[in-house]
This record gives sequence, C-alpha cells and structure tokens, in this order.
Amino acid sequence: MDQSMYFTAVEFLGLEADLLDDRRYGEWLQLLAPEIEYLVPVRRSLEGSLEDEFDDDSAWIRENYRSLEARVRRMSLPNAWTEQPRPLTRHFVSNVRVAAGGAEDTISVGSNLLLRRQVASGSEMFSGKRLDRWRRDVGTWRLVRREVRLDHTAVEARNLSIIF
Amino acid sequence: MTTSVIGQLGASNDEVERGILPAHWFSSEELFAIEREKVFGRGWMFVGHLSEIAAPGDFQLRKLAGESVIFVHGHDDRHRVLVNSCRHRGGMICRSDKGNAEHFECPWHAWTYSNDGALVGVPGAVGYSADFDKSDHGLLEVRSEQHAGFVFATFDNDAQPLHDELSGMDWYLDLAARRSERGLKVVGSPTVWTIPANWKFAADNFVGDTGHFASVHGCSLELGLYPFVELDYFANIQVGDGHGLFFNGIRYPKPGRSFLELRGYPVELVDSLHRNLSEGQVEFLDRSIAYGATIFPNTSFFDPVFADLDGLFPAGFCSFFSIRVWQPVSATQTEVWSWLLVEGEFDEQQSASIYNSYMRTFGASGMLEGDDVAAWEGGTRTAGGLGNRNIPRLLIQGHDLPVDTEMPGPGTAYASPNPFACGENSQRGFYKRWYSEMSR
Repeated sequence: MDQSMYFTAVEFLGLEADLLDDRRYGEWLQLLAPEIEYLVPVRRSLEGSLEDEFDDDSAWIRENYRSLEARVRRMSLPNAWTEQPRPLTRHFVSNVRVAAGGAEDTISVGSNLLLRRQVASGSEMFSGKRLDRWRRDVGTWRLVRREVRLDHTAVEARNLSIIF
Repeated sequence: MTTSVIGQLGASNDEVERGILPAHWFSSEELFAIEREKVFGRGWMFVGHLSEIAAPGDFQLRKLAGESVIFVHGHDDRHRVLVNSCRHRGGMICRSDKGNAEHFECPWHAWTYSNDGALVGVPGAVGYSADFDKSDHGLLEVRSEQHAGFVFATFDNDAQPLHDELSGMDWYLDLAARRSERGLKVVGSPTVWTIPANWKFAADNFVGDTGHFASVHGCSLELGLYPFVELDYFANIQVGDGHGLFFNGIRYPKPGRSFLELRGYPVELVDSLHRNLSEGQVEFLDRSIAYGATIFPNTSFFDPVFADLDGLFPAGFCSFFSIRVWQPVSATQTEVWSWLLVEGEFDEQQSASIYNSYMRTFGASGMLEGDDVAAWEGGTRTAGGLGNRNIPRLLIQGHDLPVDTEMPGPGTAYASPNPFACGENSQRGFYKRWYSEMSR
C-alpha cells in the first residue's frame, strides 16, 4: 500500500472531522460525490453469532445527496430545536486503514469513530466503525459511500440528528 | 380509592376535568412507582405484529413496560408473550434480539423450555421430590390478544378484553390495518432509543396535540417535507377511556384536493382500500395529511404524508404507517420502540423509499421527531423545580368548542381552521383515564 495514500486519508478524515465539528456543513457536502450512499444500519444482537449482524431493511440513517442536503439545511435553521443551542460535537477518528478500492481511482478507508456530543442538558457518546469508499476527483477526493457500524443496538441518545 | 394516592396526586377530580395538572406528574419518581403498578400493571400495551413471527419457532425479544418478554410463534402455531425469566432462579433464558428456536435453554442450570413455554428439561430432575411436576413450572405467559395482526399484552388478567378496550379505536387502527389485502408487514425491526422525557408527554402528543405542529415542526414546513397545501381543518378527537387522535387536513368535499393521491398507493392498494374500508374511513383518509393516535396508556400510531426525497413517487410524497410504544424507564426517561409497516402491494423499491420517508422524518434521526423530543425534554426538566410546584400545567383549551359533527369516525371531534385552536379535549381525556387508574 502506498504510504502517501495513508497520509492523504488521515489528512482528509481530519479535515472532514473539523468541518463537522465546526458545523461547516455546506463545505462538508462539497466533499461528497453526487452518488453518495450514507448508511447507518441497525445492529442486532444474535445469540450464537460471532458475526456483525445488521438488519437488511431498516436503518437509523440512510441517505442520498438530496436527503443529506435537507438534513444539512435543517441543522442551520433557527427553529430546528434539536440544534438550539448548538450541540458541541467532537469526532475522534482513529485506526485508519486504507486499501485499494476495486474500481480505478477509488480507495477503501476504514476508521474507528468515537463521537462525543454535548447539549445543554447532557452529553452522549457514540462508538463505531466507518467503512468508506472514496473516489479521486480533480484535486480532491469525494466520499462515495460511508457505512457507519455503531457499537450499539438500542441507542441511548435523545436523537440521531448528527453526522457521524 | 386510596386517599393517600389522591393526596400524592395533588389534584382534585374537578381540576383534572378542567385540565389543570400538577407539574410533579411529569417528574416524580414516587408517582412513577405507582404508575408502574396502576397504569402499566393494568393496561394493554403493543408488543409486536404477527408478521414479525411468521413461521413456527420465530421469536422476537421485546419489552412490556420495561420487562423482558419473548414474543414467539409456538410449534403449535399459537402466538405467545412469555416472560423471559427462568422458573428456577430467574435467569434470562433468551438474550438474542430475534431468531428461530424450538427450545430455550437457561445458561444457569440448563432448564429447557419448548417454544410454547412448557418446561421440558431439568437436568437435576432426580434431585427433586416426587411431587415436583415440570408442568407447574413453564414460562409465565402474559395475557395477549390481537387486533388485525397487532398483538397487545397486559399483566392484568382481570382487564377487559382488548376488543372492548379498543372500542372506537379499532375503527382508526383499521384505516391502516385493514386497507391492504396483501397485508401489512413490519420493515426490518423496531428501532429503540432512549429520550430524556416523561412518557406521558409522548403519549399525549399523539392522543390529540394538534396544536404543536406548526411551532415544534416549523422547520419541516420550510424544508418542504410536508406537502404544501391549504389545510383548513384541524381537530382533536376524543374517543373515550383516554384514547384519542390528532388530525390535520381539510373539510370535505374539496374539489381537486385529494390526499389519497398524495399517498402514492398502487392501483391494487387503492382497489383493496375501497373494498375493505367503509365510505367514512375512505373519506377520513382522503381528508387527512396527517393523523395519529394514542391507545391508552402508551401505544401510539400515525399515518401521515411526507416528502419522498428518493424521488420515486410521482407526487414527490408518500405516506407511511408507524406504531410506537413509550416504554417507561423512570419519571424522566422513556425508551421509544418504533415500528414501520408497509403494505404488501408495494414493491421492494417503493417499500425502501417509504421506509426512508419515515426514517428521515421520524425515528431517532427523524427531522421532526427530534424536535418533539426537545419540547418534551424541556417540559420534563422544568417539572421537578421548586418554583414549578406552583405552576400547574394547563390543558384547558376547548371547553367551549362545539362538537364537530363532520368527522365520520367514532368519538367526539373538536375542530378549528386554526391549528393552535382546536382544543385539548382528548388530552384531558387521557389524563382523566390516568387519574382514574392511579386512584383506584
């Protein structure tokens, strides 16, 4: 694996985390490919199974570009009450692993995510693994697919009005 | 009536009738402990849909007022709700969210139960006295009954039959439950998340809080998530026994205005709907952009029309049916279980887009649901304050509203062209039932 690819991935993920934590969602949208698939599947706990088990048909979050635009637009509206006052998030991204993506000009990037959110009335912590596919574009990379596998079945959070 | 409980409730019958409620109803752990017995120990509560346990051996792990239960399709083709507790020492015999099993074995001492609940294996049987009879120690079955595939359960063996409890509400549940000949099916699994709010705020929101929509969900209008049409009829419908509905829609008839079309139903479903629902039920659906209900105490359902951001449905909108249970955790915490069901007349792609429309508006990441929770959280946080002991909560709107005779369904409807002004009658009805259960 090309070492420079690893550094590019780490830098890109760091930039993305900063954009999200600074609530620069418009700029974050620009990192996405128009064909973006963004998925946070629902995890199930099954006895006797050592595999990751997820529902095929339900999802916590399952978005395309247009629906992400709507979510992002909402988060800046003064009457989106989940965002008033603005929650403080901190994305801790680690365990970055990069591999060739299969198709030309794409790479697969895995990362661990610890995300803490502080709201006026309390805080929440989320943990999960992110499986990304990025495509090279002129002078930059675009996120084509992200799957966020949360380490939760039931979620102990007042809402998932959040971008992992 | 237990006078000490009345004292703890801190409100007279008259105050409850008028809709003047003490703040501590929404914060007190002492009242919560009483609720556990008197409300959740008696009520009928939704557990699951038969489509979730379609084959013999299928089971889903569920909660009934917070207690772990196994919702299971037995080998004898009967559906049961079994307390997830070994009859030996109370070990949890099932720890899987779902699956298919002929038997359940307790990890503690290997007591084994058939999927009908019968105790069939005790490794240490020879050590017991001669009078030990396995048939005395099957898993405890919780009384359950179903309406059109929706299974409810109650811990109270003396409770009136589900059919009687639902009287009136079945007409409204049937709007979704009986419109499809291919049948409703749960998509995936219920999602479960914990909100920092008293469960009653959620239940009374769906029982008839029509007035919150434009203010709590104002941003959803701006985002075009809600079909922008002229609505002129907002109502709350009091069905009795604490049940009720909210309704957003239009007076009837309205030339050129059909919400049925916005629902994006395939022809097959439209035909099925006309065959299986009454004229009044079809009218109700055609007039409504969003209606929802609560079945006392803590089961709610709704059937609204919202944007399809996948662009699959020609109108740009579709409808979805969700049922949810507000599981009590404490006076200030509630675990939400939310299901989405889709009619069999839709294909896979449509079903996925309907799910997306639901998930993007409701559910933990829903662009509307989170705002509801923010409001309920606020009401919960203030409720325990020292100053708030002197600030009663007011559900006093609508005492002088005339009964509206234009609604085709059961119950008493109060309506207004002003969404904020159609009354809090069914919410009062909810708390009247609550008060009556708490004090008997």
